[in-house]
Amino acid sequence: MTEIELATRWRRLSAALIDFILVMIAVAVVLGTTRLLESAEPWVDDAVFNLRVFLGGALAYLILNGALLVLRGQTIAKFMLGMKIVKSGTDDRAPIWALIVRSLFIPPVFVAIMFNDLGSYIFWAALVCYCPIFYKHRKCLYDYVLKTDVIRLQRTDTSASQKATTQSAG
Amino acid sequence: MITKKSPLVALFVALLLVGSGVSAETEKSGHGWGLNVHNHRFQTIEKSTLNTANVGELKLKWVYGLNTSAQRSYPLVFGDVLYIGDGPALTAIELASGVALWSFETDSDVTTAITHANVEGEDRLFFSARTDGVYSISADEPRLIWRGRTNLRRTASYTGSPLPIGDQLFVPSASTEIGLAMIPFFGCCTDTGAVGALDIRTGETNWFLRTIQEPAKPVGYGFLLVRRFAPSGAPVWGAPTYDEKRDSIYFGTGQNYSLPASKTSDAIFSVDATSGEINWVTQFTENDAYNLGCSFGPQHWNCPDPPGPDVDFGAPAILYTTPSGQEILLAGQKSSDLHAINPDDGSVLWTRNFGRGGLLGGVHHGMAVNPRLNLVYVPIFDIVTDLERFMMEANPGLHAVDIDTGEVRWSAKHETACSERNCWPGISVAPIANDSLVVVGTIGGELLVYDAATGELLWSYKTHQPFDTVDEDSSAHGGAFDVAGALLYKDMLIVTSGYSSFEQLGGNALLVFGLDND
Repeated sequence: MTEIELATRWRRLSAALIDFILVMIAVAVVLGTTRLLESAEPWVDDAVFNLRVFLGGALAYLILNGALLVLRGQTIAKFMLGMKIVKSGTDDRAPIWALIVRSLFIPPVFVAIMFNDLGSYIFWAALVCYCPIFYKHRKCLYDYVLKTDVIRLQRTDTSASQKATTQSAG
Repeated sequence: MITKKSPLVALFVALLLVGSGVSAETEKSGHGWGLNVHNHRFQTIEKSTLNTANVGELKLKWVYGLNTSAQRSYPLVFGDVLYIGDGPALTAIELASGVALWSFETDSDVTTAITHANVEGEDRLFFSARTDGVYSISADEPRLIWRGRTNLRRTASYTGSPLPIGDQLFVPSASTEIGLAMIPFFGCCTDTGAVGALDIRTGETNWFLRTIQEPAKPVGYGFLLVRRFAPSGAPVWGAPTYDEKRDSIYFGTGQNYSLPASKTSDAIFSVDATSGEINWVTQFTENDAYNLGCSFGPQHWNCPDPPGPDVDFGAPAILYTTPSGQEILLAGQKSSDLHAINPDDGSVLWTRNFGRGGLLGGVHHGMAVNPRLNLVYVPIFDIVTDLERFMMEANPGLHAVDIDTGEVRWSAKHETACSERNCWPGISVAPIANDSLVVVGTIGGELLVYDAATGELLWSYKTHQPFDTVDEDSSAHGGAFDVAGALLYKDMLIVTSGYSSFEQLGGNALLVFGLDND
């Protein structure tokens, strides 16, 4: 039986912050180089603006984290802090569709911070999704829905299976 | 009067008035922003009875709390009703009591003077809202007749007051790109200022003229691969002026938003009112390109290199005939220059400088004239914006200038303002004059009435304070005097106090002063 250690809340929060900063920078680069917001149209039409920023955000997220997610179930920050997104109760990388859905929770925050009423609703909805992390299972709402966990990789056992030790949650 | 002469003559005149679209019975405070089509902002003795003898007896009659802290709209009194922009609405208020009668909601803030014309036998109001375009509504009830736009690009903004003349409505427009340029992802800039002539009955466009004819093209790169475009800008911020003799309208333009600049920025236009053909354009400042990206510093991606001094013509030009019969177009610029122009060909007769000027400085929103005294009142706002101008002599205040010679008859300086932030020296608000008075206000919120002939301060009132309103459910607080200024009508002084668009003292008070007739 595989023994896993759930990542601590502080480690997950730190990773989220690092990912967020990196994605913000990448989004700026993507939006600038693709000229998605160069014309006046998105600035006078909220729907066009939201769609383009969301697309730019998603594209930036995938450029930054896509390969690591597919290959190892990690974002850059999770790689740096030794964590991995897995199928719940296992140490197997979470399914790709689940990783894509999880990634949606970063770009909307970018939209929310930028502008307008819709963004603020998404921002609060995202915060609600994060809240269950404080419950003993250390899962966000989308972890429950997607049946995913974030586990700590063992530094002492980096070869082969990167097994973890089960720890009582909470 | 007419009726005493002959009923037939009276009938004939009445038919003429109806045919010409003039309401014969109902009095009104004036025609648009300038109170007449020449933008004099002057009230005759018949229209305004306040004078040097009675102005000291002015009392606050009532206060209305507006739904904005940055009022731009200029009121109209028509009959017993005062109409004014009230945030994203036009509100009709009973003049005697201050009680709101009805409101007509708009999508964005009403930003212009409320104007009136009798069209097809119906009294109609015309005004613009910032991003909506122009509205025509009934003067009797909150009923839309038509809504139109001249510049179909959605970046257009409408802050210059529309001017109804005959069967046309002249509508100026600017562009919000001046502010969008602050965003580095936005590629500044492609839109321009414009003036359109709409059919006053239907709102359909008769002609539309951009202040820059050449389409904007990519001229370089800003942030990453975001492109810059030019030429752009040359917005029309102020109300047009009508010249019935030449069947022409005049209007001023602002600076370009990007470089290379056009030959039509910081310029005065003369345009044929019927065809929309340009008669002449006189540019006063070349290569002036500026946008709000520069407020972050000249290194901002969208800030033109080098940034210009931003010396628009925001104030409408005044068409004036001197006692000797000479016709002059008076144009006040944000450079603090007053220009006298020949309306036939745009040649400059004389120019006089009054100070430093700059971004929000110089002649900002308007001027007024007094034909009896042959004076033009030139308000100078003085904010230091760069080192070069800092070294020039400051001259903030109100200056009365002889229109024949350009000589200053008197000056009322405003070196100091108030102790609060952004109480800049000088006068930004457009003045209004009557036969013996001239009225302005300070950024610090003080309302000032001067003797028009001598410059003696006759009456003042500090409005930066809370007020009790007619409607107990709303509140009002005074603030900076800026933009449209006061209206003199009968024995009343009507003014809005509060303007926070550039961090001045915000406020929402519509104040109506009057004489005690008891």
